Amino acid sequence: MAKRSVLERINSTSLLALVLILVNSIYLFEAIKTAEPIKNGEVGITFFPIVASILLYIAAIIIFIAGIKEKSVLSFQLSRIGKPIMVIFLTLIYVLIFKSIGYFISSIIYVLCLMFLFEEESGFKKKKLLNILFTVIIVALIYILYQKIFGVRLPIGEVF
Amino acid sequence: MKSRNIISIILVIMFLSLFSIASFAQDFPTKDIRTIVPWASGGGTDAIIRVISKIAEKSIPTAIYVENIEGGLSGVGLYEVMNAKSDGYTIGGFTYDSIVTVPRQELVPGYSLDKVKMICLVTKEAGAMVVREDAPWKNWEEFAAAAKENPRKISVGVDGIGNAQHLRLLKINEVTGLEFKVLPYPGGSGEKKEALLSGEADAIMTSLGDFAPLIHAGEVRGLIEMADQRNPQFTDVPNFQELGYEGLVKGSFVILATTAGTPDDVVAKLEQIFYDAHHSDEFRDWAQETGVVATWLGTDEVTDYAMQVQEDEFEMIQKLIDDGVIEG
Amino acid sequence: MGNLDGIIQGFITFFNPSVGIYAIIGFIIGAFFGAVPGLTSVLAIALLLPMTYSMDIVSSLVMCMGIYMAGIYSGSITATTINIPGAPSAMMTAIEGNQLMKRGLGAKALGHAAFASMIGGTIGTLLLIMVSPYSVKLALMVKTPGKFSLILFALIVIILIQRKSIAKGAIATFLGIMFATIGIDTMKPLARFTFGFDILVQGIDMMSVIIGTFAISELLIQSGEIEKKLEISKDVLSKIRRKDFIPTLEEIKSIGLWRYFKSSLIGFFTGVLPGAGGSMAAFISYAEAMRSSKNPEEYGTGSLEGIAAAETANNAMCGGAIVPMLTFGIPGDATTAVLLGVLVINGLQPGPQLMTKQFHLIAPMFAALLVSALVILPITFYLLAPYFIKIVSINRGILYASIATVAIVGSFVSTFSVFQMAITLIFGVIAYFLRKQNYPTVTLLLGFILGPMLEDYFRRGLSLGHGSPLIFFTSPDSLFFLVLTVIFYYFLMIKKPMIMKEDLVQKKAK
Repeated sequence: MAKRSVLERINSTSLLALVLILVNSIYLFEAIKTAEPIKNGEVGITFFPIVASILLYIAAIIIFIAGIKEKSVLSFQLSRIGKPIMVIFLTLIYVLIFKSIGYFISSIIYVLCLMFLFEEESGFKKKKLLNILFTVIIVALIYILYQKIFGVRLPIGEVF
Repeated sequence: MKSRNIISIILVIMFLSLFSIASFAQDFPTKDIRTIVPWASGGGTDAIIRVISKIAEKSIPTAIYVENIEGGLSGVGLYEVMNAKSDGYTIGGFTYDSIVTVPRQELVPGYSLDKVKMICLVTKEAGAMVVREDAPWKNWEEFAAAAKENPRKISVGVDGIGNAQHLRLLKINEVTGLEFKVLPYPGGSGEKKEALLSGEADAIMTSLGDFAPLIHAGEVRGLIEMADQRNPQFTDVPNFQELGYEGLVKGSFVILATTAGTPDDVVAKLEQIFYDAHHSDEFRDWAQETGVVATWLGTDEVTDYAMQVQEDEFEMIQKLIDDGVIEG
Repeated sequence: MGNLDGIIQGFITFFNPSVGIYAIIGFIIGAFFGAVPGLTSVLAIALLLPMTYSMDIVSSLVMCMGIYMAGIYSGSITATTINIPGAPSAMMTAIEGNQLMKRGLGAKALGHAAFASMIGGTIGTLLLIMVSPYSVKLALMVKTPGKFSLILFALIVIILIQRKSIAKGAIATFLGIMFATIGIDTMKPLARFTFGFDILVQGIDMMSVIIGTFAISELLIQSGEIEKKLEISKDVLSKIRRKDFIPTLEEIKSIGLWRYFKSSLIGFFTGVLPGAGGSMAAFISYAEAMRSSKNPEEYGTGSLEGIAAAETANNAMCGGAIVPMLTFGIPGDATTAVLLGVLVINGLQPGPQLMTKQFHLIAPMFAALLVSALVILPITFYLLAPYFIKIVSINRGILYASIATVAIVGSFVSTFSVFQMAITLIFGVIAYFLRKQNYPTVTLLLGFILGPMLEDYFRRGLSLGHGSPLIFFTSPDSLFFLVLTVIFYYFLMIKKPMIMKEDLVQKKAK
């Protein structure tokens, strides 16, 4: 097997480990900035977090080394990750508009988009009307569940 | 649950919101009042606010509903009250932490008591110290004598370092000259009860109401209360005032407040609604049963009271920081 | 102490129709979530969590018990019929059950799985009821230093038990611990880890973590999967008759009563062990059954005995996992981890206080667990078994769109905060990437729940010892758990008996 440099050997395992190490460093930096771990012989508010952070370093380095030893290389399959990204994006929009435009409109849009996404291949378009009907039913059922049975108020939108 | 359909609700709410702008205080309230409890559901403050809202709701045509918004030692939920419309339809429950700890520690940016209009104070709870029934000290004098002989040996459980109960204990230290070993139990009153019963802590800083079931069961004894008169429910527990100590009247409270800028007549209407609820037999009976001390301070007095508490506590905290007893 | 009275009182409360009905509702929800691959009873409870706010706590606990028992049991349905375990704990059942299904004996396999679940669930709950009075006395003996070591023990065992990768288990745990530190310090009114964002002062809500890691991450994973039809051919369904489901007396005799009992014990005690859970219980019991079997050659080709051993143990685990959750606040498995969330969010603190002073809230829960296993399980099975099989053919779009909406709306309802809704999504994304790389997410949640307790106990322990950590070695309760940790380390890491056994099973399965 030809020798590869460390950079070439990065695969998804070691990449995630690297991300974790980076995030952990930000965390540790914030801890050190906040307060001394031990002050006047007394354990402070950052002592315990710093211990956890150091242990995380050790575990992440182990994973990183194990990842580099693997034979697999980094490869992106857009087809595999495309839909999850779409779902994340849709959910983010939903969260952002939920309170301002209210439960009903935002939920109907969200549910309809998700249905489309999950049934793209098996023919969402063929059953367009049926799916819209199901969307309304789902949104109404969740409303009844929370607002009517459990007495919680869902936002109706700030425009109203 | 009432079974109105969705469309009618939307129509009704749209209809009402159109009119609420133009409506007069005499008509207040024309829509449901949102009450924010800044603590978890199931706690003591939550119970007090829920009960008084339920009773108050009966005297008005609309509903009063409670939402629990936790976080930031009550700061997060109350921040919502501060930023609501100045129409009196959003009210919140303020406690000791909301008046003292949150503003003092600047825990929630933008949090300011100037942004609220206080309506009334509904309950007061004096701080107290309790011990096990089988503890070697029968009363405060014996306890104080033991603490004097063994400074920093007798352990007292508080809620957290620098929080309300710890500050009360430090005040006791200051006035009496005693010193204790401080154990923090931030996990709620359950944790403190366990610590007292298992013998880990010798005494607990609390309110008598919190320990009422254990006191009635004869497992725990109220040692002393930080009040100026005896608690009507626990008349055998003495207080610092009658033992001749000065400045040891401290405790928590529940204050109801709405957004600043709310028209005075709306505030007056809210005060009236809660005054009636507070003075109802139903509320008095409930308070009696659960060990809550119902106290009333109206709109005229409540802000001065709260600001006085804040001033006194800030002064004391600053002194403790200067002396190096607690961290800033 | 009137513990028996308490239990009887609990049953009386339970048989109040307005309470008991929740066990049935819970059971049906649990059976649904357990049977559909990708949905688990953990997810069901996570989704219902926001509703427990506005429900009576007794009813919500009763409902959770129904979900718990049903979710573990109904995993066996899809495991048998389509060889996809509806829940991880049905993995062993899939090996045997699907072989029987292929031979046209699917109904028999399902019947035995249900019968074994009923026995296991019942014995497990009876053990729980018998053990609970002693666990209170035990719990009062463990004070702050002991609790610190106990949680440390639990976290270490949880990490070591991740057989696939201990380092990954450790990372997920530490991440959970670290996320929990964001916000206001537990002991002092000081903000920490806000990274310059003021909004982080409010901290991360447990609900957001639970819904994000379990519901949203599942949604993301499923959206990345290629659509596959899970429908079962019509003739398979039409062939199945109710009568075929009922196990005969001879079959039960040939499996042996001792087998059922032994599997129950294995399941119960695996449950007591923090972090082990249903799949571990089923696996150990299955391996032990194969070791001691008269017909080991049948294993892997459709052994009723294997199904009985696995299904008895995973349902007996339910009772066991509740013991440490109620006594020490340390959950035995994923479902009880979420259940702990239900208790804490509703203001109940697990521990001796809960078991004595608030026993009236807990006893109906025991009753619900027992009735779920002994009565509701066989009745639902008899009535609904032919339909259970059809669950998997439900439309994906409707299923996941509903779950997503219930999850997101649920996170709003429980916090009334758009910020916490966004946190829910962020945790979904984090858990998605972690799961893609085979990091365990249950340990993330356990780290999040147990981390703050560990810190509290650690700092209070130091206060007790006047600042000296020696107290953790001099207190007998603490020392006991530290020694126990070493013992477990020896058995899990140095002797590694599980891994050897697992290899054996896998060879057999092939």
